[in-house]
Amino acid sequence: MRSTVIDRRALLWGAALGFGLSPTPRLARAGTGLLVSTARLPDRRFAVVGIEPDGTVRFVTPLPDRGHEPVIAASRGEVVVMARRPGRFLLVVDLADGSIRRHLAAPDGRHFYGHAVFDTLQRLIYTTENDYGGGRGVIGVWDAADGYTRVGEIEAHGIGPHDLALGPDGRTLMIANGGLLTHPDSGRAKLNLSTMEPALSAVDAKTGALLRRLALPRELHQLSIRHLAIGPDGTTGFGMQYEGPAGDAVPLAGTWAPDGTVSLLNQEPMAPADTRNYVGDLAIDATGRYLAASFPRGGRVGVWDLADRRLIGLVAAPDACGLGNEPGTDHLWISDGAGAIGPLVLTPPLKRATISPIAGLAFDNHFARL
Amino acid sequence: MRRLLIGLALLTICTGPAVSGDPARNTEIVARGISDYIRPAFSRLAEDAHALNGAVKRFCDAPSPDTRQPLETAFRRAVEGWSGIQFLRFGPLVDRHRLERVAFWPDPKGIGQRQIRRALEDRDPTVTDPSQLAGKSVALQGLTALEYLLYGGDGDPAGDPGEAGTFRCAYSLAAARALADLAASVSDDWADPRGFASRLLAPGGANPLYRTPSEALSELHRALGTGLQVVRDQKLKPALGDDMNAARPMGAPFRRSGLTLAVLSADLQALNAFATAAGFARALPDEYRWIGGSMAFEFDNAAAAVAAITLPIEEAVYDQAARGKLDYLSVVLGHLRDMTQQDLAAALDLKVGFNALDGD
Repeated sequence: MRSTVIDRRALLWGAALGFGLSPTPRLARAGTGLLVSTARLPDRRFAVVGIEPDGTVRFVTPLPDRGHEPVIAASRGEVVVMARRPGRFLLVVDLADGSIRRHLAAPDGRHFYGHAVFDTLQRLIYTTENDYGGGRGVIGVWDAADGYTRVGEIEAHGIGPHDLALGPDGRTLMIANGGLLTHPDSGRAKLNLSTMEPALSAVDAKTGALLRRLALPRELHQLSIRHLAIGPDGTTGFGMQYEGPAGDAVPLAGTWAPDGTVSLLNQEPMAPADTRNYVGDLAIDATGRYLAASFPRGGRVGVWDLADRRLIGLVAAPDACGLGNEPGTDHLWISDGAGAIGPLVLTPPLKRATISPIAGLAFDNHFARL
Repeated sequence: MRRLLIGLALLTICTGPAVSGDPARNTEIVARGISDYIRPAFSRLAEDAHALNGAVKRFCDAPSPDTRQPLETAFRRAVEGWSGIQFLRFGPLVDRHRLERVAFWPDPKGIGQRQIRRALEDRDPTVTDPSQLAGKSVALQGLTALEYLLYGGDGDPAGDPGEAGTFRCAYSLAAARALADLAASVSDDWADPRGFASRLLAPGGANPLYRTPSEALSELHRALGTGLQVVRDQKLKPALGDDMNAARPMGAPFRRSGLTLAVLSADLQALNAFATAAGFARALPDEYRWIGGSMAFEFDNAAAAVAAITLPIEEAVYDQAARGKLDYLSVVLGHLRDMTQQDLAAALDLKVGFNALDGD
């Protein structure tokens, strides 16, 4: 146990350096390295949980309904938990004890798609939303420093924005527009499979202007771009889900380099049985060398070396979805529906180390770490 | 840091693939599921849709109570046939939106009604041609469109005078014909010995869809669990609501034709028949032997609850006694779903994914 304490302190220091922040008392109290994930509890209620990297449970906070992505604002000592599509809640939770600081809702005529991102100062938070009356995607802008007031809205420049990320310039919002038209009254049904137009949009967070747009070739139009990960050099990794026939072998992940070069990642020797043509989450390690994509339906996680763009490993990880990196290392962390979380160590053969902090808990799609 | 990671690694290291149970037993269940349930069910829908097409034609040729009664019977049988297959949401049925083209439901916004009304008002000639109709909006096609055309409050094919009635009949005929063609082609795809079924039956390294018998079995097992969930969470609970004030019976499946309870009953029968025919619980280890009996018992309870309701759904949800039956049905369905997704999955060594089931 003693070693755990020492290690946690080391981890805290390492993480603080990695983020370029000095550890404030607030941060220290909240516990750097804390993993925050949406989850389903053993009694089937949905929750957000805070877990120390050694497996100690810091908090378990039930949610009004199923959540999706947690987004941490370390300087504010809080995590914003987004409702899962087509939910409407936005919950602000205290990182220290899991208490609910605020419970907000999407404005009339909007529902959330489940993802959000803070600006560099952690003052504004951007949320992907559906203007379902207008049949268009929008990005809601909220001022966290002013009690999470809704201060504006910008165009997503596409239908069905899902994940979004902030580029290293602190100003460019990368938006994964899945291209799928849905309506909350039709539950989660997809209404436009034959005409969908997925795209990745780079939008100026200040003006809402469309800076660049990446659209897939017509023959790949049933690939829905859903999840993003940004590397330290500004490379945007993107992960997709295929809405076409199950046996088709299609690319599922790619990168968009800061110089504009787009390339899809070679999947040899993976087959549709490994991936079920469905990427659940994506991460790029802290060094920027490795990209991981999870295939929860295939029960696997694939890892590419971005240096030579080769798939270096396909790890058996049943029902695993959430991916994240670990500051200062090349470790990629994986969470799964059986309640296990832990790092994937990238020295061959790839091995998953896991802890299961709460018996009977299922980690939901995404987690974040302090 | 490093020490922490080693410590974690010592707790669990997962490297190999998940345990896959008894491969021979798994393949037998899949084979029985296909031959004894799936193929006959799709073949039945194809026959029912063909018969419905004939009944629409006879009715439109000579509208009278003598042709209307057989039409309603044929429609009911086709809707029950839909119950028989709508939970098999993999392979041929989900190819090219066939599931939605057979029946576009749920449709809480009334998209179907809006589009159909517009087509009727505009006398849109493309909806009277089966092959053009098949390429149009899914909301204009299938059993749900036919229900509106045959039972819609704003008229029926026979009742509308003159040109309006003639057009409505022409649209009904095209929809019935397109449905019959669609049902026949899904049935053919399932029957094809080299088609999708062969992938389920011969899993392996070269199979692009199923690596192991356990993965193929998971597909069928998931269909059972999802089917139970759809009956409870989509068909029953929104209509029932938490209390009478929250009841919303108007969106219930095939409410307009008065067939909602017939749908619930046919769903239960279909899921029970599928589970029994595949024999999921037939050859389980001793500690899990109880599952087969318990599921059969609960299926009987659920069927009895539905059978005890004589009111149409829009009255049943406001009737204290009938609500009691429907609340009970919801509990039983939840229990059946839990038994399927937890106990049966454990007994068959299947991993039922939380993230894999319905991610984003």
